[in-house]
Amino acid sequence: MLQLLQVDMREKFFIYISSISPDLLWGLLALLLFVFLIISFVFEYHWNHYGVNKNIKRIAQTLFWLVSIVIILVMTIALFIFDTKI
Amino acid sequence: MIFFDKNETIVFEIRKHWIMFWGPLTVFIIISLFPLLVLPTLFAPDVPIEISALGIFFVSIFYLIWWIACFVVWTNYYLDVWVVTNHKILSVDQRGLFSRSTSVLHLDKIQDINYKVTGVVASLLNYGDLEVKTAAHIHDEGFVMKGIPNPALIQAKINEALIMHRKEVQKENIESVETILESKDPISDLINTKPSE
Repeated sequence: MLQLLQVDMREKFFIYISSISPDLLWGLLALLLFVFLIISFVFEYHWNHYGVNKNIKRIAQTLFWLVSIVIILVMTIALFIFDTKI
Repeated sequence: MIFFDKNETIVFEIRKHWIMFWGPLTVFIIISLFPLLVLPTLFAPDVPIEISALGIFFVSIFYLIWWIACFVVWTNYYLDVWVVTNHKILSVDQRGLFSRSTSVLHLDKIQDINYKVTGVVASLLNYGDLEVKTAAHIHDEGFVMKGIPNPALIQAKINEALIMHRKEVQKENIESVETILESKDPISDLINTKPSE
């Protein structure tokens, strides 16, 4: 009985999740990218204006951008899959 | 922006010991593990691909925010620094991304350099507080950097920079005196010469 209830709840959850509009999620992604760009600009400004060691600065910049781009790419691909499959 | 004089060179930089970030670091590591609890559920065989994709989308948002937060903490750590040059000590106190204060202490003003290592953990990991005092601050707290690694070595290095600076100033003074003595009218030259700092 409990198992059946759990399965039913899970199905309802999936239906609820699938009902989220992809347009809304694309909008969320755009907003996130906008915020990310502002924060990146703040970081770059701080590292370039107040940082002393150029090597550390270069490593930090590379690492920050590389990982961020990978995460954003994964995010976009995941959203694209969700949008096409729904 | 940090500005240096023409013939000024950076001798070394001092940053806080990594243990000072142990608190935020631990919290960040624990937080980063949360999505890993959800990931096996997302990739279960009976979960539709669009649900998995949506799950990955939200997990990615989480990790992007986490990554940015990590860099905020790191930037605060990286920019909170003491820069020792052959002329001065520049203390940058970074409190947040938009809050910082900078103080400059010329090496010839230094009267005393001392350090404190208090506690078992500090003794084991070799970190402590370094204090540089000027004549104006001899009775109160001078320039203090808390939680710096190997304070004894840093003290010795600043002392070394101080000795080098004094030798440089001495050399400059001797050179200026020699120039005055070599001139045709040393007395009027001496009167016209501005005293060095």
